[in-house]
Amino acid sequence: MKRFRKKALGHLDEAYNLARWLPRDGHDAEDIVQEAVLRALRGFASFRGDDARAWLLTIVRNTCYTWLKRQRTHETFIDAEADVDSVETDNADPFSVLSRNIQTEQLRLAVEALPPEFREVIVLKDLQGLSYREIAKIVAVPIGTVMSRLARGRRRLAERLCAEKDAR
Amino acid sequence: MSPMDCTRVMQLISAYADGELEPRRRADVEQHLRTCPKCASALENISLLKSAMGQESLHHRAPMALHDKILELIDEAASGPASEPTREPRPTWRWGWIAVAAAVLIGIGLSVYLMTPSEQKRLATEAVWDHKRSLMADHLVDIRSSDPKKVSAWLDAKLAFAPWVPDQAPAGYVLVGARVDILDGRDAAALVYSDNGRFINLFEWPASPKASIVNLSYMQIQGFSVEHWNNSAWNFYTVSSGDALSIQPLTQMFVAQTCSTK
Repeated sequence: MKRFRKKALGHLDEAYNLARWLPRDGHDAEDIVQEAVLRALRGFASFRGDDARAWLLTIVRNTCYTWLKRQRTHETFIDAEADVDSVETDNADPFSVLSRNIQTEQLRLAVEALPPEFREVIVLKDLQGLSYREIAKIVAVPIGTVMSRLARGRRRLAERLCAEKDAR
Repeated sequence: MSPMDCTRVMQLISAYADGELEPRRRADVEQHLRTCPKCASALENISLLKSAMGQESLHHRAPMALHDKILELIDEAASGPASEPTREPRPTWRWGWIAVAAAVLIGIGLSVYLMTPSEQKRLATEAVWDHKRSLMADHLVDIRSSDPKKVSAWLDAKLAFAPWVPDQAPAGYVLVGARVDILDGRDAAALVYSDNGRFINLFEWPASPKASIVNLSYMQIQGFSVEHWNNSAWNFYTVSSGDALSIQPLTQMFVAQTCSTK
């Protein structure tokens, strides 16, 4: 039972971290995680047990978005692939190199300023260490979309942080 | 193949940094990077970002209050079946799900699937044969009793291990009795429950101590429903001629009670 609890707490951190980052202001995270756990319990009958971690994080993610809708925050979740993914705006313009010493607070603000589609893949990849395949499953998009959202999200981050660096 | 241009490399550079490119594309990107300082600096930015994201203060940890709430839920689930007997049909399977889900929450970190799907299926098929034989050969039980203590004592005397014989009557499963059967070449306890006249065989035997699995899986074999679960201590197979719903509540209660007591 001791080990049982230890493990439970380990995975709670992951669920909680996602719930802190997905809505732009993270102070509902505790409520979101609790609601997600309740949903997970209700939905368990339909779970067939191939990847429980992705299953749990999917529920947390979806709970975040219903939560956002319910709260009617200004941050609406744009579900239109066309808005985010189909317009290929990547270009190869030169951009400057980031400071070796990125300030945590600036980085936090920059991540929070990203549209949720970019923010969620960056959180799942760079904070939670999931693979593209796992992220694709959780976000319910093809792997290629995960790849391009990550690339473009990171590019936005780099551009913003570089601009701030140059402004100083 | 023609060398990649900057636009293409920019699309791939992020996946390159994540180690998600297939070897040939990876080699193409590397070849381009050797001669293109612009793309090389883009890669450097991504690496800097990735390492900056590793800073501890960006990783939020669940506060104690949340830990406590989830633990409360686990405890509730663990004590649910014993402390809340009611006369409604199958009142406790909800608790079973809660405990199983809790087991999944905790099991995620150690889901090493030591038992391969084909092995699971082989054992499930064996369990179905045993189930059919028990019904056809009129050899359902060696001890006929609805008293879990009696059945448990009888099995203890016959087997080298002490099987778990819970009373599931409050949930609508009446204990018919038990027999000793063979599964995977080893002695297994076969508990027989009746669900409104339909017999369910529940096989249990000790698991390999190395098995660290929390894995509930449902299969249909030759028209029978089979559900399997094991942890590092026990293997369970439940078999019935009914549908999934005819056995799932029973299996889930077993799992819940095993999680909470062992």
